[in-house]
Amino acid sequence: MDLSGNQLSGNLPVELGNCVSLQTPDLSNQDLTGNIPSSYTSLSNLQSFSLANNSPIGEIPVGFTTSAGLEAFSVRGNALNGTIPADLGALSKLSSLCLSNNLLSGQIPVPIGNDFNFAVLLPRKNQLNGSIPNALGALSKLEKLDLA
Amino acid sequence: MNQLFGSVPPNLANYSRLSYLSFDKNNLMGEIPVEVSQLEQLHELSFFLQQNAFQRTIPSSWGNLTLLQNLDLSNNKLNGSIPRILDGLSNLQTFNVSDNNLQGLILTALATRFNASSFVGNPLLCSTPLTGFTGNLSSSFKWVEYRGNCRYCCGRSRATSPYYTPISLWSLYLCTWVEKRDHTSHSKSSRRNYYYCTYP
Repeated sequence: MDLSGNQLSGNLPVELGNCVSLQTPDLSNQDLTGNIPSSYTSLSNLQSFSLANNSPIGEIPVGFTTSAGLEAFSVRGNALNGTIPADLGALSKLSSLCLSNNLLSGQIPVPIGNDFNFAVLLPRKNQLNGSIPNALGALSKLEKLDLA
Repeated sequence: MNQLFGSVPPNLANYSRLSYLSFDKNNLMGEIPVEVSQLEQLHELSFFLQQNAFQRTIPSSWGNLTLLQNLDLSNNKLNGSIPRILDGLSNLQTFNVSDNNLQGLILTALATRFNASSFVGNPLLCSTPLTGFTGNLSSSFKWVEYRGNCRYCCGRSRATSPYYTPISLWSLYLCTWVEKRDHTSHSKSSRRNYYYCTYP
């Protein structure tokens, strides 16, 4: 489902979480607001999820581990706060995690270093603190790491 | 902006597919990662480590990274000299070690490949006049920006300055501290301090 580049506005629909057969929803470059509904973590067939460059607020919901086939997750360019959900590190197929340009705080979760398939890890331009987990050094497939 | 602190994990050499490594604008300290010098096979590699608090020296082993394209180490606390072996980084397109505590003579060919802005802000770093500064001067003079690289390697002074400490490390050059009003329209700073160097 590619809805990118339209001018959709309003709150992110909770009901989208009912569309469990969704595989690659692309909601990037809209004007969508509100919280990311936790119902989205029920989308068990997700392969990619993009909400880049919108205006949602609040936290990234915990529980995307339901989407065991998730390969790319992008919420860059929003105003999300809270912490990076540690359970994203349990998504063994996740290779691209783009969180840049948000207001995420706290530490980089150590379990992120468990996902050996990461090729792109971009928590650039957030409000993260703490040290870089040693586990990140084990991500042997990493091509791009941007912690600026 | 992220505010990560502490040191960089030591096992970055595992990144056998790495092309882009950016840790800039954090509070990282300790040594800059030596291990990445083992990534010499990587193409189009870029390291952006500027604006941290990395200490110690630039690892000589980084001279192995012959395919490195971009290296920015500016605004850290690096000391020691610029390893001459970095001359081997023939694919560098950008290079910046400004605003550190580097010292000694710039002996590398990097000084001819990159202009003075790549080296300024290292008060103990000396060089022949670097390119990159223009002015209405006769061709026998070249300007070296005040913040940078000439003041300690001058033999004699023709003017005094509270900052001027002539140490005859290199008496080939006479350096004179001057103030030069910058009239160029693109510069917001109305007054910048320069040294100028000339042959005796």
